[in-house]
Amino acid sequence: MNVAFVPLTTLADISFWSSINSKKLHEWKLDESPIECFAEYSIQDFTGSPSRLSFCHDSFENASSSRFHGFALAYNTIEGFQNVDRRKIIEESALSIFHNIKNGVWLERPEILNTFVLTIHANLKKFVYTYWNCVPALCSPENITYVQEPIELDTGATQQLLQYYRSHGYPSIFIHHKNLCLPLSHLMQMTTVDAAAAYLVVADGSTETRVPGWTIRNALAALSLSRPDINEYRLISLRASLPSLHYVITGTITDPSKFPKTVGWERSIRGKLEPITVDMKSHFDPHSLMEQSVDLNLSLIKWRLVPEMKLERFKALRTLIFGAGTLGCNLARSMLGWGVRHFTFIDNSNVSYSNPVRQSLSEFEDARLGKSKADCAASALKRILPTVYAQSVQMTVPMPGHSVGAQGEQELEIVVNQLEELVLQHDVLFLALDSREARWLPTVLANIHNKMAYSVALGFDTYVIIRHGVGESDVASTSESSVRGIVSYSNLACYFCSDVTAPGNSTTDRTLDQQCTVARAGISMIASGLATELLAAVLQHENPVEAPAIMGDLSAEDCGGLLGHAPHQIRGFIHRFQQMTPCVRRFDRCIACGKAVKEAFEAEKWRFVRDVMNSPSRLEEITGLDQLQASVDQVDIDFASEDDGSSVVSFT
Amino acid sequence: MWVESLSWEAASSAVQNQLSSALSAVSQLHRPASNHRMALNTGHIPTFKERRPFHAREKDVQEIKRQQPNKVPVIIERFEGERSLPLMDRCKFLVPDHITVAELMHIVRRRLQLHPEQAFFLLVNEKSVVSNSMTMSELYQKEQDSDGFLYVVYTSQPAFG
Repeated sequence: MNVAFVPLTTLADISFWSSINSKKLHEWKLDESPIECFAEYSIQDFTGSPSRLSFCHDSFENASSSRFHGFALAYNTIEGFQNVDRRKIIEESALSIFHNIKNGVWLERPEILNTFVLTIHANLKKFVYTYWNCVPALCSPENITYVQEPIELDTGATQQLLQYYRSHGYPSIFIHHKNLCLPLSHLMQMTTVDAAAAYLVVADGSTETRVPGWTIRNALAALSLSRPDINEYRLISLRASLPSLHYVITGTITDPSKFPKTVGWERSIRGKLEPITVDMKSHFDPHSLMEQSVDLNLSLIKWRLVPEMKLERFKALRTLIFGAGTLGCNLARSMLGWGVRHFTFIDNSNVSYSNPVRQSLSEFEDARLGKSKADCAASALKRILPTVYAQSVQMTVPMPGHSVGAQGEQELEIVVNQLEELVLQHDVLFLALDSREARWLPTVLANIHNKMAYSVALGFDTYVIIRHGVGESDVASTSESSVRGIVSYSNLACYFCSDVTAPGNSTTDRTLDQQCTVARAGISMIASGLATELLAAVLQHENPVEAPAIMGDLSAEDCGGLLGHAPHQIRGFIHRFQQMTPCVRRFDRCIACGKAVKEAFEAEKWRFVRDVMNSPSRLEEITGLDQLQASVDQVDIDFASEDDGSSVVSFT
Repeated sequence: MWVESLSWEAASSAVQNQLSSALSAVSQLHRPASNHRMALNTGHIPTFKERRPFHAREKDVQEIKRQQPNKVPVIIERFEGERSLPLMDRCKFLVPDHITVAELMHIVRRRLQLHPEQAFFLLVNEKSVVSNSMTMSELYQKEQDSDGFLYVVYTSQPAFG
């Protein structure tokens, strides 16, 4: 009677595919070389389940000797997977088994007979995996038949074998001879008579009661090739849950030195030689699926474009966004795309009906319910990406010129302290508030606590993004005449550095069109996008808080980071679709980042804020700008004559 | 319908062309200098450079430098497209070379009669923003035009969110 073997069925669980996702994305990338892989094989399974070779989360790490030790080949494209030479793969793998049999390695390490080559294509975007496993088996001897068909071993005998198996480190093959268990290494010392009488005990995961499993094949081949002097092979399929089997096989070997025929590509459930495709999308936890997929697009940047990219810097970044209006919303949205996961919004107002069309984290219903803008933005972010950390703070940022009475002082103290606390808890501040004066206190606090701060502001058809200088400025000691060149991060100007007056209350005596963000609709996205990219350029600098800017014409000077140069300011003028990237040094008398302001705040804290709120001119006094104003009052800058056509011709 | 609207557009653009050529003809009458830009709905006001030819500007500078060597000839104009700041009644200035950009800012601010909360900044040669601490002579050395003037425009600082 011909001999049949139960083939192995490759079972890869979700944890295996999950590990494939992360390995492919973060480690292997474009590399297609074989990866060591270990698959679980069990002699404990019951009838009804397939004879399995299982892959799971630790298949690339756990090299336990009871496992199959093989290789995974992960292809970059489905075409690569389909067009691979499968004959070659199986032959190479089988040839190495053959060599290990011929040179006797298998006698010391019988587990080397159990190997596989798992070919994979993982569609990381769709979570669809195509695989085809090959467990090579040498067909030696050929034309095999049973001399004695499989018979169940009695329980006592099985227990004896199992005890040896378990107490000797789970050898996949050992010898049972004359009621004794022996290591496989004894095989070659045995006489022909003994060898013919001895049983080769093989750990067998077959789940068919009377049919031996796939591991028997290479054990049989190795025996037949190592002991050509015998022609009847006594084997025991050792099983723990089903009764073990013993049987005798014979066959023909024409030339034991010749590499025998091999089989091993797994058949599909339809019984065909073909790959298997599984769609795991519905099996992954949707939250982690989202998180993984978001990472996918970013990690792909590291495959070829920017291999050194430090994505973890985005993930770890804690952002504090002042203003949850159109800029705040779009900033958060675009930073999400870079992998930023920590957002805090500060805003004092509620969503009104005019907002949702421009403020991309709110919608009609939020306006109808009059939700808080900060709240609304934070919860929208969580709807977009549930694993994000987003919180909101409802607060009116204290502003110069917005005077506070005695009854408001207690609250002001709380607000200033809370604001300072928030600044300390974050790594980067975005100033996207709706007026100049609202940007003052955040600028002061960012400067005092050496936090990165980005001002983003819109005009009707203009925008500006400024990264404020971080760290102790040495602008005073730097010769201002060396104007072209590299300006260190600490010497960069803030939003207020290019002005010479203190901000005041810009909302009094203003019509509605002067108070609201009346801007061309697209520039909020442009400015937010650019601000995000400026942040990205800074974060990918070797040391972000030292990312310098270039003054003068942009050159290829080597001061850029992985993503290139990080300008100091980006100014856009949409009426002519023009953009410039000026670089400005700090102004030592700046009313927000100047030394005098820093010292005043540190000394008086909220009381200083109160004074400035009630009288912004205090800022001009402490910075000396008032004297500057006075000193130029008498300066005459007019030409003596205006008869040369230089006057502006009145013309409309 | 489609054809009709097309022809209507063609007609309307023809009218516009006529209008603009008429306008530029008028403006040429009024202004001596080369006026190659049309002043239509953008509210474009010819710049000093556009109004006055190079040789005349060069001569202006030479003359004034001879008279007042310690002053910097500066053209200060409103940036094209600026919508919220007023125009100045003149554009040609002589600025003492020792004063700083910050001081010039004050002077411009006073001229424009701005509210304290109206923020603006200066663009030199329509591309550089300069530090407030720089002196006019430093700025002039670095950024003067080939005609000898220093060209500065003012424009409002965006503040909306």
